[in-house]
This record gives sequence, C-alpha cells and structure tokens, in this order.
Amino acid sequence: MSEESFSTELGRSGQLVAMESAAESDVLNTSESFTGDYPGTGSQNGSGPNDADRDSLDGSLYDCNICLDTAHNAVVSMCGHLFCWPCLHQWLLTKPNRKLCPVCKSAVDRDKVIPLYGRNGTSKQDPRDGIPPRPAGHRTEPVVEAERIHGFGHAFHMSFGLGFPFDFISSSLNLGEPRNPAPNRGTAQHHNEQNLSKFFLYMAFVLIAWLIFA
Amino acid sequence: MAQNISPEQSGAGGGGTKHSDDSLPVKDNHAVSKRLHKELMNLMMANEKGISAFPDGENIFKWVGTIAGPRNTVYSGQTYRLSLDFPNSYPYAAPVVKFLTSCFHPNVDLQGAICLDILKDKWSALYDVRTILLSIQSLLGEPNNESPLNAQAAMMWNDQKEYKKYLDAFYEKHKDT
Repeated sequence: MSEESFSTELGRSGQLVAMESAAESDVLNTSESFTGDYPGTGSQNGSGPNDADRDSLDGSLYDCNICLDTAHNAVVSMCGHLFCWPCLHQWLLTKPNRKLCPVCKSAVDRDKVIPLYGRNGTSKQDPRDGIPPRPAGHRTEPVVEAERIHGFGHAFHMSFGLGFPFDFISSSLNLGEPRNPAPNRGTAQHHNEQNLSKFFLYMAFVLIAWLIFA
Repeated sequence: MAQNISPEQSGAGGGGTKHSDDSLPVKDNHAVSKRLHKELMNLMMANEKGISAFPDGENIFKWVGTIAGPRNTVYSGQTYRLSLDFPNSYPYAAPVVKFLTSCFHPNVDLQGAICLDILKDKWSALYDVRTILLSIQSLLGEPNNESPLNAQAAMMWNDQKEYKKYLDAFYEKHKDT
C-alpha cells in the first residue's frame, strides 16, 4: 500500500519532471525562434534563417549587442535587447540627449533596463550600481591667445626684487603693463625660459649668500 | 621668485593629466580591437556575397573593404574598394568610410567621401563592418537625391540610360584609379 503510493508519487513526480523539462525546451524553442527574426540584421540582407543558424552555432545568443562578447553584468532593455551594463552605460553617455536602444531605437534609460541574475551568479548586486568609472576628460593645455578684454586680469604682475645695495627688499606693482603670454610647454622657447629663470634663481641665491657672508 | 615656481607647478599638473590620458585609451583600445577581431571572425564565417573586408596591414583600426555593385542597377558588374578608419571610441562613434575607387554617385563626392546618415547622426553601436558595407551597397542602387554631394550625378539620375552611358565613359577614364 505504502509502496504503491510511493511509486505513484514517484510516477507523478517523474511526470512532473518530464513536464518541466518539456516546458523548458519549449521556452528554449521559442527563444530560438525569436532570434530567427532578429531585428536589425535579418531585415537588411534578407538572410534571416542563415543568421539564426550562425548565431546558434556560435552560441552567441547571449552576446552583448555592443561589444559582441558574452554579456557580463547583463541588463535587458524594455524592448528585449541584451547588453553588458558597462557597454550600454557608455552608449548612453555618448548620446546624453537621445537615449535610444542601439538595436531598435526605442527609448532606453537607467530605469528602463532590467538587470539579469543567472543561477550561478555569485554577486546578487544590481549591475547598474557598478557604473564603470567615468573616463577622465581629455585635457589639453590651452593655446594662450593674447586676450586683453579688461586689461587687469591679464596684465597684473607683482614682483619681488633685491635692490643692491641699499633698498634691502623692494617690491613693485605693475599695473596695465601686459606681458607676453607664457609659451606652451614643450616648445623650445619654453625650455629656454625655464633655463633662464633657473639661472636667475641661482643668481639670487648667490647674491643672498654674498650679502650674508660679505 | 613666485613667478619662477608657478610654471613648475602648472607643469606638474599638466604632467599628471597627461599620464591619466595615456593610461585610459590603452584599456579602451583593447576593447575596440577585441570587437574588431570578433567582427573579422564573423565576416569570414559569414562569407557574405558581394561584400568583403579585411584589415589593411598590421593595424586592426584600418580596414579595406570591397563591395560589388548591386544587381539590376547601373552599378552592377563594378567592384568598389573602400577604406574604413575606426576611431578609438568605436563602436560608440562611427568609422570614417571612404571610397578608394572613384565612384560617380549622387551621395559620393569625387574625393570618395560618402553622405550616409548611419555614418553620421543615425549611427548606432550595433552597426558593424558588415552592415555598413551592405548599407553602402544598397545606397548605390537607391541614392538619396535630396542631399547630393555630386549634384551632376543627382541631376542625371532620372535618366538611367543616359546615366549608364556616362558611367561607362567615367570608368573608362578612371580605369587606373
């Protein structure tokens, strides 16, 4: 009696497992047929089925649409397109005014993507939290144009000097007397001026030493 | 003395930013070349009819592609070579694509520059070498005469017979290029 009920239980659970696996393969089938009419690639050359074959052969069903590699920190847009979050984030950064899905051009945003968590995903962290560090701006030294709009901002200089031998320390303020802009780094003129300023610095030390010891 | 020091300070600051500039694109370049290698693999596997592309020498960032003139158009039977120049920001920015073979077409100028929206403002990170070449191939047969780069070609387009005649003469003249 108990054995019988156990076997029916087993049978039932076996059936259940079979049903589950059937459902699973069904899901797989539908997802494969979905990629068959993959928007964007199939429509352009009319070789849709060929594409689908290739995709399933490569196992590239879960490839990011931007880096073409298996999606990591995967997110899926509302329109169903898979991306690595860093890739999609970078794309959204390059088009801050038009945040569109690269595949189908529907609206996409941080809050309009769903993070995906796989079975063996070790971290339960939202991939959207790990926004890659923003790339540093490309800063180049500006080419200094001789812009003298107000006269004051650019033409204000203060210099300390050692007056020999009586004005022990004299300072002077120069107003409204523009100087040439400093040459750009790396140019020969810049190099020369650096050397010259070092030379005068040493001269100043020598003078101070002479004043003290003499 | 204060003046003497300040350039040094700004110099050190400049050096600092320069260093971070140097370190970033290296990482980016790796991702870009990885994607370009993948595209090359896909192109070779797909063996698409009418288009082909391969890196030009050692540099993976410069490719040379060929497209066959689409059938049932005035361009059928012709083969065109194009250069594809990928920026470091690819695929977030479009590559620069130019015709190497002279091409008489309403949307191609005599220097080989192409006027195509997907290479400009309609660019998407999804597009790759394959889709670019296919788009240019279909552009050959279906020019956008609204915004011509070659006004003469745009004017002549309506009379396809005359256009074909002119085209044949054009290729006779530019055979060596």
